[in-house]
Amino acid sequence: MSKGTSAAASVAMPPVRRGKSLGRRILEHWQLYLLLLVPVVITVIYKYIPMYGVQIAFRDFKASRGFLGSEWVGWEWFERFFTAPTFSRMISNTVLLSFFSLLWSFPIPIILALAMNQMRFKRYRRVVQTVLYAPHFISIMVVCGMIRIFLSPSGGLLNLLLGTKIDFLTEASAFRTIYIVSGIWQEAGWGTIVYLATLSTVDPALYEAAKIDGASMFQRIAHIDFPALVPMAVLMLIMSAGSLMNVGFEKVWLLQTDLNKATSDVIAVYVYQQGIENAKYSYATAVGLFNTVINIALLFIVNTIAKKAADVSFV
Amino acid sequence: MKRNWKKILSLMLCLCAVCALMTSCSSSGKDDKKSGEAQKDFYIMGGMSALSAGYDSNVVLNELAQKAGINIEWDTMSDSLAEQVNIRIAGEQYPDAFMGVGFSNYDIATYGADGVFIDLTPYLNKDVMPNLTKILEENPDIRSAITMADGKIYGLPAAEQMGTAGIGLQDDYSIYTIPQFSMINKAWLDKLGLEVPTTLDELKVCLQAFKDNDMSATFYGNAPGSTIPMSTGFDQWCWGQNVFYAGFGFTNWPNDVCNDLLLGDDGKVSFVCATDNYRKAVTYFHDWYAEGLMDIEMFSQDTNQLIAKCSQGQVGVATWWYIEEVMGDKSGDYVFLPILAGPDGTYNVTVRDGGAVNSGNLNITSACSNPEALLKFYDMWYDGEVVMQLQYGPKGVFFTEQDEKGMWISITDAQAREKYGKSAGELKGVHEVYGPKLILSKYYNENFYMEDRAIVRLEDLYYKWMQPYVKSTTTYPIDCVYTQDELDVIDRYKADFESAVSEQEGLWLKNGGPTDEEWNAYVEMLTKNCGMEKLLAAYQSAYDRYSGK
Amino acid sequence: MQVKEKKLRSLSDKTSDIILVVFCTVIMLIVAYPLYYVLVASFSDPYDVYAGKTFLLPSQFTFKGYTSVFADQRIFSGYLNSIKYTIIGTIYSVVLIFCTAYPLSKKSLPGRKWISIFFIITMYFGGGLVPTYLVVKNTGLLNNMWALFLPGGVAVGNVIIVRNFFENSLPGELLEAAEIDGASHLRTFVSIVIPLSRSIMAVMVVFSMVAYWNDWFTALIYLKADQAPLPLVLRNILIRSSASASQASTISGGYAELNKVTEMIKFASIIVAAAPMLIIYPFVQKYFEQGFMTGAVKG
Repeated sequence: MSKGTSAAASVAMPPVRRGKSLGRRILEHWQLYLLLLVPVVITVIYKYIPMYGVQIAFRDFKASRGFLGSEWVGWEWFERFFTAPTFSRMISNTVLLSFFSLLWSFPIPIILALAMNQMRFKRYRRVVQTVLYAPHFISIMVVCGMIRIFLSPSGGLLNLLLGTKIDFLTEASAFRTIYIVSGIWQEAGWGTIVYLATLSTVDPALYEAAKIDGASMFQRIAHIDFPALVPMAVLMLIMSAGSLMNVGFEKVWLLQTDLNKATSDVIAVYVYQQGIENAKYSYATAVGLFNTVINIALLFIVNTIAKKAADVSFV
Repeated sequence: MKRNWKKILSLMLCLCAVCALMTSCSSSGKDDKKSGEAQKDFYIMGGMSALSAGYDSNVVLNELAQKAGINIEWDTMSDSLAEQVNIRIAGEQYPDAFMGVGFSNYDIATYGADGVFIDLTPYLNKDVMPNLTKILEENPDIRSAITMADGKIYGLPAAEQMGTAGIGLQDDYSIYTIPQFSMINKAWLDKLGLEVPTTLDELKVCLQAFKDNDMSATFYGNAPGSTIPMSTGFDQWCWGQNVFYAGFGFTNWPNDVCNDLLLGDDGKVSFVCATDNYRKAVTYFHDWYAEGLMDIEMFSQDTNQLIAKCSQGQVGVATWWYIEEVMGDKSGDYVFLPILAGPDGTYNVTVRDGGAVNSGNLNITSACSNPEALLKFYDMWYDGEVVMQLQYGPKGVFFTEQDEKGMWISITDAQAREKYGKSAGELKGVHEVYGPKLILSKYYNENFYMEDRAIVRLEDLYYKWMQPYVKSTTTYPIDCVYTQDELDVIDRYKADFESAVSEQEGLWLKNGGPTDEEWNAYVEMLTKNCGMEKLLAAYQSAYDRYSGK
Repeated sequence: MQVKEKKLRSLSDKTSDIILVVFCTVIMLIVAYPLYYVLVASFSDPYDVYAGKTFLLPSQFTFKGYTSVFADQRIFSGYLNSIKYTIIGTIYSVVLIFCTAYPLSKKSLPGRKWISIFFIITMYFGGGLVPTYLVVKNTGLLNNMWALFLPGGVAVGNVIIVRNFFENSLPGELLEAAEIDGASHLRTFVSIVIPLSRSIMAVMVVFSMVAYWNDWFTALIYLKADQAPLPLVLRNILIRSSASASQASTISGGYAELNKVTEMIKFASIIVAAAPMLIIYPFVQKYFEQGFMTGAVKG
């Protein structure tokens, strides 16, 4: 199995070769540093130089005073965020929405990829794959428009099927389900791409051997495909954990009504609404920074666990 | 494989070269100011209509610039204007002036204080700006509306005083005074032998009858059970439910100052959403909602969904400015409802302010070395015949001829479609210039006729709503000027306050009116967490200054 | 547990094939229906769409949405611009991702961890629009196509995926053998790693391609109007159409009629914008298929 052999290889070739000086080792890898040169230069220019902008989280940014001239206000924006009337609700809504999203939308692409990978009818498989991938291209605005139509109590498909007259968009209890199910519809097929690519590297000889041993399809999936996917799946999980606080603003905003705010009031929408008034870039940056800190903390925790459990690491 | 090698290497080398080039040329990009001669070429950045093709070949503007002896390079956009403006200001790359941006008073005061915008008061005299100076002398209220709290003026005034005076009526009510007109299906009433209701209780009987007799199905042949007795949005601008609250002594339309803010005849401000009347109203209308008389979808639908239902004849009662706009083919069956009295037999309509004067549509920056020349150009805008062309389109295009009184007559919709292949409205969109257009009420009587739709709307407003039903037109002035401290309070609390109020209003309408306990908790939350008292104090002190107390 | 396993084993390949096909078909139909709905809606009267009359077939069949979109000449230059940006941007991105990911996958590289952290920081901290704009302007990229690619830096998330692939999915013995043979790092990278990574490269092509194809905001900020890519052109058409509707409502009436066109454009735009990406995808798909790799390794 490829996973096994590469692990074995790294054991056979310990990264640190004793006896060689650091300078010597750097010299040995000059070609690799050369490869990194352009990416590093671009990152410094376009990512690091503008980073001075982050400090406006601690200033009262006024465009006319610039980034260095705006008044220094320290933690004021953070305090304001922490004392916002709906602060605790926003935090818990954001975390829960993200968490449940992850819980449902993480395993589904893996299952789909495993199933499609075993499909022997190549043409049909391509059709299925293209269909699953297509919803990714529908804009959020139109997806939300369709949700409205499908869920409408006057003539909406779901109410027709259930024989009810419920306005689901005004039910706080339905919001997360709507958000997550539509998200899975839109992104699950897209999410399978990286898993399918990983599965394509599995050596077909393994399948042949398994077939001779009389292994059923499910056994082949369990013993060959699934282990091959684990490192990528764990990595995707770490990455999702590291963006848990980043709930997309547009979709929540388009699906929010005054009556489902109990579950749909999330940080991203709040920042947007606050931003409309007087363009509060500082406030938005401060809240963004707060999200980042939480994201990094989560990333760190999940990364540590993953490193121990599956030897997959983000850094 | 060899080829790949080379390809990648050469690509990388290219990238390196690009990077080196880029870092080397990162010098400052600020334009050098021309010295010596007085500036004649100006660079102006701003907004434009999405239908406009830009101002380079705009005949009206070109003629004005020629008269003023200046050249203007226009950099106008209809998308992402706020970002672009912010980038320019933060990057200290100012144009000579911003036009049609619509800066808020908050921005104007800040940018003025920080020296981005220059003070225009030295130029507001008969030599530089004769037209505007005359207008400001005749209309001191316009001057006070554009004077910031520091006593300076950082922008030229703009406003559209479209009101009932413009169509020759006695009192001047802005077209925005009442945003929602309610309508009912008269054909259904006739069929059921009912009169047009005059009270909320009577309306309720009608709605119940619409529902019981499934009028949508029986009268128009729609699917059984498709009748929606009344459909509106929730706290929406022209299609909300707010007009029906008049039976409880208020109408809390969406408001440009702050939602639910009321100014009493005694000059005291208050929030209607913390009064007993408000509590009674939401309690009362919950019954309607619960009995299926109000559209179950009122909290989530958008205008498309509303128009879809209305134009198919499913809806008995709705709100909008014009009946035909929502009812389509069925318009003939509908009539406007009167203002309905509440359970205690009274009603009261609280109006809103509109047509505010603002000074965020032409602001000269410190980059401009010859403001006088530019202001001479803009002074020509303060003339009835010029501004009408900037608003609607040039003579010969939008304005076709003059009548015997010297008034300009605008193109009809049919003529516009025939000649230009677009509606008159779109024709206006193509030629309109965004900027400091001050359209005074008198221009509608001296220079040109107001557009037909506005006349219809103003006549409806005047005869059907204002005259019979509105007792007091006191309302919080939209052009009130705030101090920086007041602006900070508003900035901090307003959005949270409005959001908390409308959420709770919706929940009570849907789930049942407040118990004493809920009500007290709500008022406490507004006071404690949403800064209600602080907002009131800020609005009160600003108003006291405004009214000269 | 034992019983279950036996039962599974007794299932023939044919049975499991049938189960698979049924499973995939059901999923596909569920996903396909809303897609079909968008297609139907793009040919229907929007008020009928909103009234729930188009769940099966179009109502008041019309091409108005498409004719309105294609009536605008800019749509063609939008297509051309988008194709150009997408091709160049994808090549640039994928090269950059691979150049970054390969060194970072080498456990022996001194400073590897710090270089990784250097890149990862940019995933979490950004300076915001204004400072980035100023750098773009100062590096002379305003109104230049490269402003669409360079300010994005390196797609760090993708780099990590590729690095992970290098570490876990490449046959270690092959790389080892190359190293023993004395092949240089670059040589191994170009002649062994890249050919073996075509599947993940295909993934990166799809990811980058779609990201550039859908991006309109960057173009809006940095490029001139005549350089606008397709999604920005479509956005403009939509904004114009809705401006027409609101203009009409103030002067001549007919808001409802013109607003219909806006709604039709919304649905038609989806089809117009997504079609090329849906046509291309099947060609990329073969790189994700079982057994594709064998040929690569042997060749």
